[in-house]
Amino acid sequence: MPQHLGPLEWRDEQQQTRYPFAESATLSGQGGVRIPEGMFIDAAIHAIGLTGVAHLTGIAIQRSEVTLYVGDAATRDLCSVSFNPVTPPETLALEDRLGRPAGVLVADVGLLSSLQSWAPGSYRFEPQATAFAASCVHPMPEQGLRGFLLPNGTLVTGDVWLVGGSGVILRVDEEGTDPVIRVDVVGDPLARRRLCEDAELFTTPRLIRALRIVKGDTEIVVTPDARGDVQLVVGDHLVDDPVLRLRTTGDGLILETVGQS
Amino acid sequence: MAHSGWWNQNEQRSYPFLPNRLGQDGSTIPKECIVDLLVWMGPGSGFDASRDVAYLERIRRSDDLFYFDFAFSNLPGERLTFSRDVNDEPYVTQTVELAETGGSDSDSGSDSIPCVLPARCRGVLTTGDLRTLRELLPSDGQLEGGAALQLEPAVILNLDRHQVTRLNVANLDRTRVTDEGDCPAPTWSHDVGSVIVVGRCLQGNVQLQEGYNAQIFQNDLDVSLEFSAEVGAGAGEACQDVPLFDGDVPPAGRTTLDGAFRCNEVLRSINGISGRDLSLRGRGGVQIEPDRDNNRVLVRVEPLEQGASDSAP
Repeated sequence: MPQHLGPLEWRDEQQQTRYPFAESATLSGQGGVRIPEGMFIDAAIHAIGLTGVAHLTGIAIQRSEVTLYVGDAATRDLCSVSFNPVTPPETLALEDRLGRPAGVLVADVGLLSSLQSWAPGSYRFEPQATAFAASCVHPMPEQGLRGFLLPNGTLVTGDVWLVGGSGVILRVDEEGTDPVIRVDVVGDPLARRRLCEDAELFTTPRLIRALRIVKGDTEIVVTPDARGDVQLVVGDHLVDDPVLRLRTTGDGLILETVGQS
Repeated sequence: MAHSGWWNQNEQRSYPFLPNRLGQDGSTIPKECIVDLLVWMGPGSGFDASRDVAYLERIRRSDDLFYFDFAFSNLPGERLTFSRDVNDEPYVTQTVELAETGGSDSDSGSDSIPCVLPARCRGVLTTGDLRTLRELLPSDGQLEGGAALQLEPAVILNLDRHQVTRLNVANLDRTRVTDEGDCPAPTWSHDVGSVIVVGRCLQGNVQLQEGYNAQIFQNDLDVSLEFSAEVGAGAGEACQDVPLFDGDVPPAGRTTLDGAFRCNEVLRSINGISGRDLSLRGRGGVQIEPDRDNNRVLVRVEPLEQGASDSAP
């Protein structure tokens, strides 16, 4: 008989135990299924928000995909991993519902592929059946600002930039030691230029900024008022009936003289 | 799990490496020199447990120190290095970390304010009996490891993407007048057209403040913030241009920050009549003649002769 001169390798040793599940784990699930000892060799669970006893909460079997769920009594699908049971990986990387790493399960690929023989469906496991050993679970309380979840479901983490876009200006002030981000919405007066310039659909208008009145050698520049308007008036107001008259119409001005010389 | 029996066992097997990797198959690194290891991959490490691996690259001796260099496929060129005195007793534990780079907010203008960032990688190593290592490396030299000496996946805690490490604030540049037909384009005394950084590495209790025409709603129930714009909300309407940064000034000869003309700087109407085309008509003794070459309108006023009649041009 072969004799071991020293300790077994770590994995060989664990294959003979329920580890990474608790020693009291029954490994039996709903529907009479049972996880064989040695299917899972090791685990490190660090799902954010895990508050109760971490356990393998369920196994979903589909035609060409198996999904393992890990959670607690409060949230059964805190994290999961899917794989093809025909070619299962040895290291199963768990991710939570926001795509963040939540731990690993190390498996025996031969035993893991035996899940192919399970009938398609969902199998539920209770904590007493598949609770993980305490040393496999690393509590990760959900505290502090962990990320920005955008309306489309994207989670932004790490080195985050807030950028004021068109018409929005962000400023940073310091109040004591705490930074304050001020949001000003001021609009974009040149929005039409911005939207149309790239498509070469925008031509800068040639604006009239003043009227130059020239009479002989005299030149007077008349600029508009606060509303952009210039008033033309005629004649000498000291005269009751000036010869030169100016009338406005719907689309312009009429200059005319009246009377006889 | 970190008791002496556990470490004693690990001195005789490959753990914390994959099975049968130390002391055999060409590896000269003795099993007993490393008995326990735990690695945290930090929030910015980019580690992917389904793809990336960590391994012992080499053990070096320099003078009276052994160095244990660990490499990671997600951090090429970087090493997590532990050190031991060659005469250290068994079961010495040490924590080291790979600091995050770029940890200052010097771009914001407030120089050398430290930006405390979580380490990209941190490890705790317990070494065992180093006597065999001393025999293999009696003087300066090294024992090669390599990708075959891969760590057990479960000794790596992957905290990548687990938190916001720092907050930075910037603005897209405002839309600016760039040309005016045949006229010279406005010129600014500062760079335009880029993203303008106004704050880097904001940490601690960051507050959000409603500014001009802005509303911020906080929903404690689903932990959400909603930003909306409404005229007059927040700090009310802005009475003047809001600068994007200190030194945001109008171009030469203009009064607005974007270089556009104000309402009172453009002739929009004459006697209250506006429109794309404004007609000028002369009647009676008034003649209005265009002078296209000189961009002029000539107005002649000649009182009517007796008996003449009105005729509109």
